Amino acid sequence: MNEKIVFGQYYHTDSWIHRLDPRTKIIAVFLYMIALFVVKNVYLLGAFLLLALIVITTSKVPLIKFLNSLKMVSFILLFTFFFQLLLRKDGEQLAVFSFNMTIINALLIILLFILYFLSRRIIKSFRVLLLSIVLLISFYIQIKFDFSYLLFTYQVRIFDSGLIMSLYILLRIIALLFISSLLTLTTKPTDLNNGLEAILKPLKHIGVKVSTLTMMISIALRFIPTLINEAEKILKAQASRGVDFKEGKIGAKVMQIISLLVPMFVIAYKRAYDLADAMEARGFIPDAPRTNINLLRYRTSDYLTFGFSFALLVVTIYLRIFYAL
Amino acid sequence: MNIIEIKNLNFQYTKKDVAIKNVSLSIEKGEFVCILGHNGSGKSTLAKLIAGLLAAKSGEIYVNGILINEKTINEVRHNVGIVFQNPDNQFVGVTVKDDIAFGLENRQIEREEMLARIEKYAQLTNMSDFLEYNPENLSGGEKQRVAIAGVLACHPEVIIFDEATSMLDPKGVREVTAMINQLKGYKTIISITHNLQEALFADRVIVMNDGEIVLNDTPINVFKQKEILINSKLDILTSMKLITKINSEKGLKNKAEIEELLWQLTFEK
Amino acid sequence: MAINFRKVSYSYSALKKNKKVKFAVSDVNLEIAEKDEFIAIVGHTGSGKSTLVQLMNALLVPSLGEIDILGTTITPHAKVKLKPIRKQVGLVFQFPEYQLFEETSLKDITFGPKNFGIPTEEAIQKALDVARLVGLSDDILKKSPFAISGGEMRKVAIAGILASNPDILILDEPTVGLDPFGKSELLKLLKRINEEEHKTIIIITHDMEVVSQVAKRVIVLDNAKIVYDGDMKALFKNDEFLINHNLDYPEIMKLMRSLKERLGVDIDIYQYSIEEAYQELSRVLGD
Repeated sequence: MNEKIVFGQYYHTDSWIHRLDPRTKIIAVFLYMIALFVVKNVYLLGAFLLLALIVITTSKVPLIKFLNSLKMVSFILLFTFFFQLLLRKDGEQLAVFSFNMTIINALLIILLFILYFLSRRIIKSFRVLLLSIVLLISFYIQIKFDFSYLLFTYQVRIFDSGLIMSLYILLRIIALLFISSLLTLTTKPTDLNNGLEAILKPLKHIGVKVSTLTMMISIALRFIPTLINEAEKILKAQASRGVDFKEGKIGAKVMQIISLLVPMFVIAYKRAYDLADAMEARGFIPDAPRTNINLLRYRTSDYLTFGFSFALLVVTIYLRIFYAL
Repeated sequence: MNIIEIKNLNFQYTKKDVAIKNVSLSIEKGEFVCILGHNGSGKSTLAKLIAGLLAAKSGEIYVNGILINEKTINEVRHNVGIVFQNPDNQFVGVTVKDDIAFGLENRQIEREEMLARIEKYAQLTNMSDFLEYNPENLSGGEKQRVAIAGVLACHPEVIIFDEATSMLDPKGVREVTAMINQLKGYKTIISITHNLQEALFADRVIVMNDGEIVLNDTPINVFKQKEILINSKLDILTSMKLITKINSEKGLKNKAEIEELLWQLTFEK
Repeated sequence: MAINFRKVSYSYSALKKNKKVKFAVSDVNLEIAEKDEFIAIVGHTGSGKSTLVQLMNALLVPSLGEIDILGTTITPHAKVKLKPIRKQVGLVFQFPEYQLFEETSLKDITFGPKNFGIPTEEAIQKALDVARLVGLSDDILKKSPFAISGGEMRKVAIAGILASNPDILILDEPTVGLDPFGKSELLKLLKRINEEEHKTIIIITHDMEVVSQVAKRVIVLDNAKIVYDGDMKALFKNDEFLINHNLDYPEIMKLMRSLKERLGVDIDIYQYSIEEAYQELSRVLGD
């Protein structure tokens, strides 16, 4: 019964990473990210990504979950890759492509794009991949076919600096996404919250209300599933009054959304008042000292992880300073 | 000494309405008091005033001899626990264990002691197997039992149940009512409700109407007062309705005997 | 028959071949007439009551089986327009106050009718008629739905469904959270609608008092299946069934039973009102 609700992104299995103290994971990821930005050499960057991949395989979380994190940024990744590849013009020329835009080619390409947009209804996933294939085919057409009336030709040159720069950016973004996904996939949101609170505690001395912030986050986490349930109930109640989210013009759509949001706000308000009463009745005073039922304790694996992460950062800085890597 | 002493209490939410009008009341330690009233009669407001969640406009409330004011409010809250109506809106923790610990953390109880109390009161409320559960996987009755465990863990002398069963299904009502009955004699209990069945077994029943106390007596005496109960927009017991009917007609011999029997049956369990 | 369920099952998880799924309602066969029925649906929490009524107004589509609703047949894969059904079969959820959101109570009542295509003028007129029926004063209609009492909010919510003039009215636990006064007012209203307008009314309830006061027919659900579908009075005569399914008797019957045991006389304990109970007592114990 307890496994029914998935904590946001959290994926439940038992691996050494799952068992690490959340503070260790947060700090290790942080150190890895700093090191990632210190690296200048693209091969070293590749090694960093490889390291991330190795660690991921030991987490027992299916790889598909990590690939999902790439989905959101896939378009930007693709765009950046080509942007850097084609715009850098120094160094050694690696390849030259001659493209012929003839009337027939132009028509074929337009047709291809029309088909791509029409396929939106039938093929719903892997849109970016599909777009990439469409682009590749349109370039291929321009390379291979040069009959009929020639409109213009153009050349694209690829230089090694372009390739290196685009790989550099690509690898870094992917490594960042993978390592942060590793954090959220192996750590329950509440543990993350507790870990963060422990790490940020020193900030109390400069007036940052750490425990109040973490209490707010904790309550938000506690109520997310409840709010989702309530939203579903309200949607059903409004559907029984004729609200149909699939149809309607702009005016109607606005009313539909209001019919969901206003009740949710009203419920949230009442909840806030009731909860405040309950918390006060149980002796809660904001910012007053409290003890904690959760005990975070470091074990051997935590110390080893700390050690390794620190070493990684130190070595990376060393390599950058002395070897410009 | 009475554990709760209320003298000439007045309260209003806005300038227009008056929620509590000149209410005076005493409750002895260990008593099980039931407060009945229609929606808007002031019963929940009274509960919040006793728990120190609202400040009275005038009048005094003494809890265990301490007058409630800004300075004493924290100490008063040590002595009074309250279980509210909505099972979700009082569940703070991410798990059952975290929620029971909440009040203890606020009172800066040491972790070892917290664990011991959590175990004890989870067992008392039959929630020991549910310590790692999230609230969305619990029924209303289960959530209320967690609330009770959380309140008990702070060792208050007085526990107020503010319509704690009105949002529950029959199973939940049974579970929570059984829990409340277990606490009889062990804690001072104030149960706020509009369910007459719950009031039958109280030591004393108080009826509120439009902010005033209109009845303050044993259950048997209170339930005989049908006019006052109807005026207070409360239902009257089925047995009372039948007694009234029998009384008003001439068809039965041994009227008095039957009426007495019906009355007896009402208060047996 | 207005509503006809034929071997209907529903599961909240997708059906896959060779995979065992949990059904919220299982193999339901049910017929409901368009007029005059007053049905109470009872059952333990999780027995499928909410799912069953949501199938009746096409908020949910069956996973297996077919449902006829007022002329439209719904099957698992049918592409049918479901919105008109929700007008004809009105469903009032538990704590319907939570669906209110408009600036004034009157506007909120007209929200449903307008969504179903009723022109504004007509919707307002209908809203005024229904408001009078449920006992809402003009004063309250002008106010924001958040500035009125809980009982009044509930009336506004119910009026909002009635204003679309559904043929069948379904209410999920309509009396929960109401004080005794509010509860009896609501039951009187439902009885009036059933008797004067001959609409079929279906209520989900846990309260056996309510069942004995208003229901003519009772459907009992247990673990996704219908285990009783019949006359209300016949249900209460079946002691064994009630015990097995953890169902309670109305107070008046419990009293009559105790009287019978204590006095040792042969009283017919199956009475449903104070009047009936008195008549029976005077028959047995009278001069």
